[in-house]
Amino acid sequence: MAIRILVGVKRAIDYAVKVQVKTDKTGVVTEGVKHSMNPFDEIAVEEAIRLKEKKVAQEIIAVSCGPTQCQETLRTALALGADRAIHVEINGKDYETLQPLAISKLIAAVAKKESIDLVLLGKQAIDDDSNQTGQMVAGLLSWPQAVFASKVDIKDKQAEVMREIDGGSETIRVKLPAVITADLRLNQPRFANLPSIQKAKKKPMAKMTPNDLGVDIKPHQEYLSYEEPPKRQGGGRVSSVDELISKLKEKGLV
Amino acid sequence: MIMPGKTCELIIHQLLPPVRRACLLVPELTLSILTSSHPLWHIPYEEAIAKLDRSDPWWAFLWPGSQGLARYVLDNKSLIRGRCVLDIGCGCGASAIAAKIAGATNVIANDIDKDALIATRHNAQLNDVTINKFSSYNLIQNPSLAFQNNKIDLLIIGDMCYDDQLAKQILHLIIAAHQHHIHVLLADPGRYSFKSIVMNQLKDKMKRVCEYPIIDRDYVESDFETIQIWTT
Repeated sequence: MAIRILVGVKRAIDYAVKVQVKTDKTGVVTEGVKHSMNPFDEIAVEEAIRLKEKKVAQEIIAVSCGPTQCQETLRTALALGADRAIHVEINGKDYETLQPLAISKLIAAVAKKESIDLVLLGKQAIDDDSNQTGQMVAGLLSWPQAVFASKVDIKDKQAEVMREIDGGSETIRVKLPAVITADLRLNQPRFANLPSIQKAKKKPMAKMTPNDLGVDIKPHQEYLSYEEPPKRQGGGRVSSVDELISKLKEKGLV
Repeated sequence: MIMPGKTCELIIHQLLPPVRRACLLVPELTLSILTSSHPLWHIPYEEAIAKLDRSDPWWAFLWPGSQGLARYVLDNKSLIRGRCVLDIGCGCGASAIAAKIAGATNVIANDIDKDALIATRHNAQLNDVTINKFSSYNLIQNPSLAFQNNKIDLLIIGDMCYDDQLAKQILHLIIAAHQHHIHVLLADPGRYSFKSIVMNQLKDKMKRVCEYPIIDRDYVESDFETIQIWTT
């Protein structure tokens, strides 16, 4: 029996962009900055497509929460092979203060509404590095979770998942419905080409609001200040090993 | 969004050489379109649109619905001969060209993207036919006006119902055409918005006259297997 997959895709600042803190320290500069799909979500999308190619999955629904530009991220997911998309529209102040718990509630609500068997997410987003959403979605739905997946096998409504853990890996088996989050080594995602993006523009995308899903997105934490990491001190060159040793001795390091 | 820069003529001539038998379902046609034998098909989206200098070159593809429409037109010349045909959303122009080959007296190619009209004119030349008139007027928004200003007795629509808004406009267009006693031929590969909006409203008024398999590997999409031809 083929399963239905929900895959979460977050629009995040592109991995190659040098992130800058706003001068008033209330956040990071996002205007005019290149955004793209969170790389861990790309891996989750790729895994969903592979499950569909293996006929394990019957339908893939991509979900993104945020402003209108999230539709570009959803188009990419559709171009890669998702069947349809749901855009949960959140703008302005609500978006700026959006936190993992609210996202988790939205994803859980969509999962219930769409009779989803498997929620596939990136293990974390590269912007906030929270690493909370997958775990909280599982908690909210009372579903089993297999996070930091590096291999996924699905058979008879069960998922066998190899997980990355400290010092190695472990393999666990969970019953579906379940939440799986993708780690870096799960797969190598494909890229979207021009025809796939054009084809994706012909795939259905539904728009809804947190209200439609009966979810309160009020933040529960307050961000006080954003700081740049401390600037690295410049290094120096030495011409010989002897000079290196004498300098280290000078500083009392050896 | 059309980024100013290279003209469409230049792009067609530099990047899109004519492809003989560009589509398996309509091997009669030679078209300057993107196929999987073209390098631009195989590079990331951002690189391809940078090369083409356009973000939405719909006219650079022959979409499944239009493949079926062109096939049906070529296979049913008796329905086309002597007619005045309007191809709405003509894209690369394959259906308009097919209508001309099938013996239509007058063919109007319409697309709101002026690049599509340039591509259609170019592709018509490749197939030794002349399209009689080109129009970029958005006639979906005022179909009656367009039908009054042009003598048309056949409206052809290939693969236009790809979102709800467009499908609703196409629905109104078909109804308006019917009121003006204009015959409609529509081709669709089973898109969600076509079924939920157009068919839902017109299931008693339109009939399916033909069905073609999607045999072109470039367009084998997960949920589509056939192209259906519908008529009023």
